[in-house]
Amino acid sequence: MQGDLSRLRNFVWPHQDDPKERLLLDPIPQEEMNQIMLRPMMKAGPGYWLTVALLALVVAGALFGYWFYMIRWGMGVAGIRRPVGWGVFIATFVFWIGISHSGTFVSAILRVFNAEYRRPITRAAELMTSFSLLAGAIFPVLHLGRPWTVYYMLPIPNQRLLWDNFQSPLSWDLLAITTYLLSSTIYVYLPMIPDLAMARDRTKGWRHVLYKLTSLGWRGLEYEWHYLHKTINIFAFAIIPIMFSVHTIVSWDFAMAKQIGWRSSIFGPYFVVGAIFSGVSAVIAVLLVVRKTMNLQYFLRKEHFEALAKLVLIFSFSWAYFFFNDYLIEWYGGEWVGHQLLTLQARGPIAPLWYGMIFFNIVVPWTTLWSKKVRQSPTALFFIALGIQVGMYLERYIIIPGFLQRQRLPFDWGEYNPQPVELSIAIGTLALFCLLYVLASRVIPLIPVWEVLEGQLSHSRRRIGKTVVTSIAELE
Amino acid sequence: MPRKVLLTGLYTDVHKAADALDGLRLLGLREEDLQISQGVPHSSKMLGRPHIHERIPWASIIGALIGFSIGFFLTYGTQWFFYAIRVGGRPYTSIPTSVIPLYEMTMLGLILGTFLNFLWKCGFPSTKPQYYDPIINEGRIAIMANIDMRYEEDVRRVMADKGAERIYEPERRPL
Repeated sequence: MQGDLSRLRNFVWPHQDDPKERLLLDPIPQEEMNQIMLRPMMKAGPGYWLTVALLALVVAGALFGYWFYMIRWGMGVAGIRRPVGWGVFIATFVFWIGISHSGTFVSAILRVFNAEYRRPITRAAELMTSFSLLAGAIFPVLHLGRPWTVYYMLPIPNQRLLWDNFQSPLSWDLLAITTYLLSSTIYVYLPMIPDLAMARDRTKGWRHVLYKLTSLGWRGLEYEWHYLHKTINIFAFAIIPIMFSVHTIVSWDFAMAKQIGWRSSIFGPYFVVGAIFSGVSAVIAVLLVVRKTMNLQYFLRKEHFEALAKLVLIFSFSWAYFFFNDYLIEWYGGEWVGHQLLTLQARGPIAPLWYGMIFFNIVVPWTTLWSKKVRQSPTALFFIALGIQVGMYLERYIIIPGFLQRQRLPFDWGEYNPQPVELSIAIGTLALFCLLYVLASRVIPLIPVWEVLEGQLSHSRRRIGKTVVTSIAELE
Repeated sequence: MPRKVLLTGLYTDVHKAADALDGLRLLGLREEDLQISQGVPHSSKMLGRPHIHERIPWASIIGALIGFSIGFFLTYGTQWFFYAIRVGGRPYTSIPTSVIPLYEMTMLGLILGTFLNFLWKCGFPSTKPQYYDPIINEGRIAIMANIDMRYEEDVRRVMADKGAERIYEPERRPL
């Protein structure tokens, strides 16, 4: 009894959080919102152009310069040779395809599940999908050695007696990436139309012409909104299985081969989970930069980063589960070459990469992201997200050139040393991704203003008993 | 035949706009005489307007079927009619390996069919000058009533009574 009374005395009424901290409970006039979005788009100071110039220089030199160098001197300038036929190029390809899952996951899945916090972050994430797919799609072409022969992938009558085999995993790749690139580009474009129309009405000169063409004559009529909503919903449902298929097919590039370490029935979900893990953390890093450089603090708030950080933590758990599952089966199987592969990771030349992967993908997220303070700290989140990118890149590197170093018979073992041309091209695609994003940030409204307004329309506060809670109305 | 006139009433909130629509209906205006233009998507239910029926899923299904047919041609057609590739003693056309191109092409067809249908239904891209007021992107709801000129005074009165911020005859403008 005494204890009960003391508990009652210490009872604190439920904390009523400040509604102003939440974007959807903090409405401002629509025109003010438009201006917050448009103002940074119209301004491009010397810092911006310097960034563009530097990135363009890196793209020209590190990506295209070294690519032409490799075409001139042949694939021999890269470090790939027997037994490691796939190196940094393919690891980077898988990395970019993984990043491309950011947009679809954050936008489509959260849309389907009505996660309201998605509203201001969807477009910035969807753009990442399109740009990372473009960066990734370079690698299969580059890996051909003679990129002008890329049309061999098309089933056109020819005199070469070389025909495309659509039963091959590499052809699956081509179809899957093409489908994903087209669908994600349309998916980012559709919800952008009303915002492009808004920008059309507020700009002059070349921008007005650009927005006039891309807004297609949007007038905000009832039936336009209706068909837009309906089409976005169909896209959201359709693009999710496409997203799953893309990275599963990428994983089958490996799992279909009789290579030790690759032939795994869980590679599909393992790759998909890894892709979402790296994709969502990349969204955090990019959004933090966008927020800071474009003064979008009104739209991008602590609540959004906190929610994304929770997702990252969940996907870190999931990734660890798949990683352990894959590892344990190889270990328990007792196959001699498989054990050599595990030894290579634990004590061999790739051991630092393997431990680095575990550190960035498991140790760091698990020891930090449980804390609300960390989840709400932009600086901490930025570095954790970057660390996860490093960790996931290492994972791809270990799986691809790492595993290829140990074949079934020891006479076919070897080492792989990435050459400057490979590293430069990989860095070049990173610069290409950044360049495309930086350029897009001044042309494309990165925040879907109408979606935020729609969200604010559905959110309100109401009193229940002694407290005031947030209430969300179903608009449809 | 009496001359037609297009009147626009601008409203600052959805309640006033929905009341105005009720008032206009009481005057005898039909739903097809009224159009709403808005920067934030208030649904038909909120405005008390009839639900729009559409056939987008059909277009998606037709797109998916076309995609599937192209996928079928790529996997089976090329092997049957143009060239047959024998790989490792496996059949020319095996179902498990064909499922993937068929799936990807079906999804691509579905996506493109849905998108093209959206453009067609909305009449996009539209290059002709249209009745439009950019102020809708400042939080206004525009009710456009296409009426006989003899009812103009009545419509103006109802719009004003229901709290219209401004009532005017809109102009066609290039978009």
